[in-house]
Amino acid sequence: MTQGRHPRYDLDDVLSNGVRLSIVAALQGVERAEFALIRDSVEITDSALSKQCALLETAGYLELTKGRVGRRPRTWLTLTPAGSDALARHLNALSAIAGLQMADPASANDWPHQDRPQQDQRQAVPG
Amino acid sequence: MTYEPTPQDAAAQLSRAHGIAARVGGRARWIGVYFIVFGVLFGAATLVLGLVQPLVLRMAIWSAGLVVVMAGMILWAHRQKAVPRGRLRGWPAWAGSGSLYGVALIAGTPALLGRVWYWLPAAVVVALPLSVAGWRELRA
Repeated sequence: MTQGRHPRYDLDDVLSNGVRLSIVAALQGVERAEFALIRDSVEITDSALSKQCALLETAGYLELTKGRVGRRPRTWLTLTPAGSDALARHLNALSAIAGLQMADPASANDWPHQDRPQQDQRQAVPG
Repeated sequence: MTYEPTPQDAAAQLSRAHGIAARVGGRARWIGVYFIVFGVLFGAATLVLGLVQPLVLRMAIWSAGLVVVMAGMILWAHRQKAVPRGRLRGWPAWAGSGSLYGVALIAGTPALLGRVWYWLPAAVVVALPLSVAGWRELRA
């Protein structure tokens, strides 16, 4: 992260949606996971997961693979390297935002807004 | 406008992301059981080949056990809903148990066939690499 730059600029637009962040985070530690497992873990409906997966696939963060186990069709979700990088950046940015509060609770309310001058932002970001 | 969570929101999102990653990651821990079963299978195969007499019975138990357990485990693994990262995961353990199995058979056959003092420790040693790898996966 560039010094003086507010970490919110490093947040990923696609992952700013909580459901999409959960889907990508769920896939972080596995090579692939079945659609039903992600649906149950994120606690959403089939159609909502399909919609979010389509968006993540379009963004290049997710790959969908269709297969079969016996006679049952299965869809597998895999996090792409681009998705993994985006997640790491997004989580780092969230950590930085959350960390400011932990490091100095008083400074939490002093976060510069987007339209403030750059000088103000540098003062607000801890070393 | 750039999305801007409050520090509390950010902390909550981080916590949720880590929680869900841990839950789904936990569903991939079956690989530990998979390793342990194959470790025990290698050990049992060593025992059968070294101790069971006569030859026909030994080969019948060995081949049937191997086919049944291997087929069952492969099917079970195929049915799991999450696959752990790393296609070559645990290869040192596979290589370790496989090599020790080969060494135990070469060193013990035919001179030590039927000798419990040799085959029992050999089976334990053969089973160790995969069993330890499996135990570590379950604890991870």
